[in-house]
Amino acid sequence: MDNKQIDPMSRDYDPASIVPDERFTQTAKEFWITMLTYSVFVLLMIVNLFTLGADPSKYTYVLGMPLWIFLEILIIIGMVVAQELIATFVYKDMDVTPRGSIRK
Amino acid sequence: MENLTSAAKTTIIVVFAIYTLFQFFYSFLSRQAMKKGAGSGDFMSKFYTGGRSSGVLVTAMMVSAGVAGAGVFMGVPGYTYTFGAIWMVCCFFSLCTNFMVLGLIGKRVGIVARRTKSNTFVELFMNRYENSKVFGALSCLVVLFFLGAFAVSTITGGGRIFQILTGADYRIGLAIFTALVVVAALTGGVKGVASAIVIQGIVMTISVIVLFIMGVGATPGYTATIQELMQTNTDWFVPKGIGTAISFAFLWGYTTFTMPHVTMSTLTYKDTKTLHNAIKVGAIVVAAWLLCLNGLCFTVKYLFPEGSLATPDLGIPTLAVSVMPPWAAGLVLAGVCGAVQSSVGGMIVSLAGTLVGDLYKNIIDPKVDEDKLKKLNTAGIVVVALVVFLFACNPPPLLASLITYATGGMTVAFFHTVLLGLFWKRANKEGAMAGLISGIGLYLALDLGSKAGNGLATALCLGVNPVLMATALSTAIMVVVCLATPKPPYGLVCTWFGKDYPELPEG
Repeated sequence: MDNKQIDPMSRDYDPASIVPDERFTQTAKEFWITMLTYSVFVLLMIVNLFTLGADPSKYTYVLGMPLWIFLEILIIIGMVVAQELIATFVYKDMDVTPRGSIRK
Repeated sequence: MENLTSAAKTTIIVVFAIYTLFQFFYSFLSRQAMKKGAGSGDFMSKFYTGGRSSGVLVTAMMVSAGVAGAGVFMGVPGYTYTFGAIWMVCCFFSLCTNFMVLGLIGKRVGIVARRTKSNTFVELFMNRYENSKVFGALSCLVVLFFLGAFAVSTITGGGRIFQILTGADYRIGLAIFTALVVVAALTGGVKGVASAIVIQGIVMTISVIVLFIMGVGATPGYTATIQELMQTNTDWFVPKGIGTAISFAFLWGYTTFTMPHVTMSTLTYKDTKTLHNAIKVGAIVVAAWLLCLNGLCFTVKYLFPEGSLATPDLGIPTLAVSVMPPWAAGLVLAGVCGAVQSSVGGMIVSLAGTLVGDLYKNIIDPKVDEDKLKKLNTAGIVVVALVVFLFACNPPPLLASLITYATGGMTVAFFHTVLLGLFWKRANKEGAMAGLISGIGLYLALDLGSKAGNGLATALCLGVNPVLMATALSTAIMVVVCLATPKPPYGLVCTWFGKDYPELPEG
């Protein structure tokens, strides 16, 4: 294998030639999914607040609460559900020991 | 809180005393379990990572309770009371702490920490940056100063609430918290502290649920309260300041992993099943805390109109004392203290680890023998706890500034160095140092500049907290410096990104 012939201290190599550990590829994917999901949550919360919440004289009410507050609670519950679903179905179980692999 | 009768105070003190004694006994009892516990590694590894055997509740609470301090019970509800709608949203940006720490980088860190045999946050990233002593020393200083300041401010918050609810001097509260942490840490290392955190997290959860039920019960009804407030305090519902919202989304959501005492959880969890379950448990527990405590904002505003609270951040404690029987108020005190203790416990272990493991062992004296290290470690825990205690009793003037910059300081130092280090092969030690130094420098320059009225500083901040621009700019600087300087060594990149990697020599 070519890898074994390159000196570990060498800086003269092509990074693209390093065979990636499939766990690293997977965790990079999970990183972006996590970031994106949280960003959607932030966006929804802020947009909800500044559109539906902006003018109290125009509020409509749901179950006795202003619409934006009701929706905010739904967004929060939605984010909790999203975390449960992602942690159950998207995140992959893997052996995190040094030379482990993703569990199939 | 002049309306607290001495009988009420006594009951509160008794409940709190029972809770405290329970924790002391629990620490001693779990010491036995700790001694024959599972896990691998030498002394430092066992002490600071618990032999990498932490289970679901410990991992979940280390993140959730570690992040939630007195701010959750007092500071943030206080802001909502004063400023209204914008804070009804901001307070929920810390909803996803487990997700954004364990889910974001947990598994990645778990793998490379085991490959590099790293026991602390700083040690791991020192390894990433070629064991650069300069980078290591800078990171240690950032942690010691900023996390230290944060620890002092957190424990002070707990002391204050202790004083308010029991009438005793706040320093007694401080002493109790400090003693509990030291006992937990010395009897079980990070596992000892982490088990204590689980208890504290459970008490927090029970206390906020009880408080919510009783609080709402003292009003004509939850939605009736809101309707009433819409008439009397219409302006309170108008959101002002989108900059604030964006700032706190960043500070409380995206950057939680930059805090060493929270990210400690990624070094201690047993396996990915545990990690995933910790995310699932944490999501629900934190949602319960935030919904109950912040859901009470209407109740507090209704029951205590403008001017009737000594200070706005006393809203929750005042509510507890007004609507609950003293035993339940004692439970809420235990909950607040639990929030404080859980954060401070993790911080003190993290600080000691940085002082002894990172600064002393990795930088000053790598050949120190294990016996000396054990003694230094014990001394380290005690010294760190004492320093935090003493500064909390007698805060020096500089401390207030350090506290202001505490979480921001850790963000600008570690956001890019951690993320680029974990996910970008080209990140190297020169870039990391440039990133860290420019981050702190820019942060201070932008913050002090805009406070002093400097036009450029204010404009650059773009209407949000200076931390964001400082982080963005220093990340750009780090990228540029990385590309302009040599690649990291082949073996290092294989360890952090490759399937095959050179094993570390034994010892």
